[in-house]
Amino acid sequence: MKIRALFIIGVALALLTGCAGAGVFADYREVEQLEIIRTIGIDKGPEGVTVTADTGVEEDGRAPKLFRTAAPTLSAALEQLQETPRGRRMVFAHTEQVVIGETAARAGLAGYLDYIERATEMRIGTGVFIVRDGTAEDLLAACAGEGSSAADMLLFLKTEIRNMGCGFVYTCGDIAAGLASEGCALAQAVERAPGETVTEEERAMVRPAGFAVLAEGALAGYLTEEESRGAALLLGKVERDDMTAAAESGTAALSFRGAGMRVRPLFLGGSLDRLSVAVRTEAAVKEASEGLTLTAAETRRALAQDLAARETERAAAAVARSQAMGLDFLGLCAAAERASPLRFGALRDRGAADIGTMTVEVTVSAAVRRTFDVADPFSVRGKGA
Amino acid sequence: MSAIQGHDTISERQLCALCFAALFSPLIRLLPRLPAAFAGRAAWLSPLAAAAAGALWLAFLRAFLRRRAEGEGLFELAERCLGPAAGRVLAALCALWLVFYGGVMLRVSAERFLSTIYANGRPTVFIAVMGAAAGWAAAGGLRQLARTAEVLLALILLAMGAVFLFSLTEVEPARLLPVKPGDAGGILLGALPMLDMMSVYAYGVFLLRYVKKTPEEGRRPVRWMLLLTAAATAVLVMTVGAASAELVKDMQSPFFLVIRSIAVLGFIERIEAVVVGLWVAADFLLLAFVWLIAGDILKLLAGGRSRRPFAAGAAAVSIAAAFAVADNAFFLRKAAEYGIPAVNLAAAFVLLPALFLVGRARGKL
Repeated sequence: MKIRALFIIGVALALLTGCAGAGVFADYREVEQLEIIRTIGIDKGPEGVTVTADTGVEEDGRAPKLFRTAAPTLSAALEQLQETPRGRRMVFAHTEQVVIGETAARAGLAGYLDYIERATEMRIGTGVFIVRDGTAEDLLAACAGEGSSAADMLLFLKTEIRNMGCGFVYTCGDIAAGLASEGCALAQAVERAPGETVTEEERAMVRPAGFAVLAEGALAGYLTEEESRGAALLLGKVERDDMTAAAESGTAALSFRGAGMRVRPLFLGGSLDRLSVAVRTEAAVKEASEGLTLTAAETRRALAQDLAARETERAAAAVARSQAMGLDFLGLCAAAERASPLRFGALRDRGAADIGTMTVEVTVSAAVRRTFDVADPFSVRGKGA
Repeated sequence: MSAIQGHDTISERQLCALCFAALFSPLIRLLPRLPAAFAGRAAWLSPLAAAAAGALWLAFLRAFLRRRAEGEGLFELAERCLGPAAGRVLAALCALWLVFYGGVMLRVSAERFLSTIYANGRPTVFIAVMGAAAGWAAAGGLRQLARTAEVLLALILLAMGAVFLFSLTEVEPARLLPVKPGDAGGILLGALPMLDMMSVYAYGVFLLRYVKKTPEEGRRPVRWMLLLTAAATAVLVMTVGAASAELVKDMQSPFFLVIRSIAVLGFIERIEAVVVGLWVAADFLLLAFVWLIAGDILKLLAGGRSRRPFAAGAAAVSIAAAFAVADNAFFLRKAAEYGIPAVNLAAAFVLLPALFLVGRARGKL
């Protein structure tokens, strides 16, 4: 009797969780009856919001399906997609990324972020891309072909961009948190290959286009590629990047990674003198020109100095841009406050820590720690040379 | 004092397990949002502040309960301290409060389903199913409920542990630091929701009449409180660390929202069903717990032999209250976050000490 009672209670509670197939709403569908949406494109149009939904490449390699609709709000547009009879139910629960066209981003993202946080299907961990000089609809349509889709390309970017050293894909939650706490945030921008000379294949590709800077809930501008690389390095988002560095005896292709910035506020007397921003990078030699003596410490030091000087330029460019815009999208003040909670924290609390006016000193240090398998390059001239 | 049937006795460990499992319901519901609103990124320190206050309260409770006789619970202690009439009035008020509390919690539980999963559904089915299940458990034996709590608590802790580990990759230390002296006030205010959770144990004192008195009585709750502190800190670290205090304070179910975004190794995702399972189990135990206590008090007041009809009656009234209590989630949120905790805190931290002092002054303890 007790076991039966426990069983009945257990089944009743399981039904509440929706795990038991039927669930209390009995809306179970076979997977064949579902249209799983992987990427949602958002643009601003005359009707309000234009939404393009992308399923990604089908399992059998067929081109992705794109669904387009327009409505006054994002939720209404998604609902409209759902209500259009296609014999399949749209599922947005597995949306991996949201792509926002430039015009829509300039008009403001707050409403879209609000919907994504609020919607029971969507996740705040969804990646966000801003389309530079274009619309999400065009981007998604251009990439849709046999075996290729924007959804797959963006997913690839999301996982691989840290190995490119040129950006990072922030999520809806990251962006909303940045906007709520610092008033600004970065988002990854993407673009289609521009120009007349590109091939058809290149035209249907998505490539990173630096960081988009968001402020007061809207797109405020873009960082250049060099600034974006510097920003990625400062923010510790570089798993691997490549650079050719020169020493007296030759050149080497270096693969390096950054450890993220260390920010220290330096005070002189009672007032803030400057912010010291330091980043350490570690490099390994991937390829070396003949004659480069990697076993010599001074050669490695020279390569490291070259790398450090060029990365310092990039990082300083990112900081300079942040100062010029008066937006602390690199989180320098927050990092300084963590380093000096009392003194710098007091400055921030008084509203006296303005990134635009403070002196920021950026230093990137580098060390060539290793090479792969071969120490010094092989001699191809024989012993007589 | 009515005779206690042997099959209805439980150990102090089981009572603690029942209270602790039941308070996971307010833990998931109240904890991330309110401390984040009060203390910002320093919210994760609020449980430690609450633990300090909680330790003092448990020390007081131990001193109080050391004076209880075998077979005495809060009902009997209230009668002893205040006199039979006033003691019974106090117990009756507690029973009424627990019935109302159960009703609001049942409605809050149903509303949470609607705001997080079943958008635009009706709360009716959730109130009915959860009410019936918890009411059935409340009308059953205390020992069975305590054993169920032990099993469910193990599952809850297992799931919480797994979810915490999975969410660690999402946690940004920069969202939790720095902590400054100026945060102290917020940290202390943020401790109130956790103290509210601990006050669940104050109602559990009614059930001590079913617990065999031992010299070690009162030590075990301290260990449970430490576990609660660890769980609360973990919940705050994972929510505030993943979503920032600025977002968490505006969310209705931050814990759930953060869990929804967890992806493990790129192929395990949408694990929020685990969290739903957590809160269904915790809500079930909390409701069964309060209705069982209310039923027990009513039985003692009426001089009844069996608790079953009184617990079932308490559940029925609570279910009716759940339908009638509010027609919008905004009011419910205010009630669940401020109104109900205020009464619970008053019961645990004002009423119980006052009872003790009156009992001592009258020479009854």
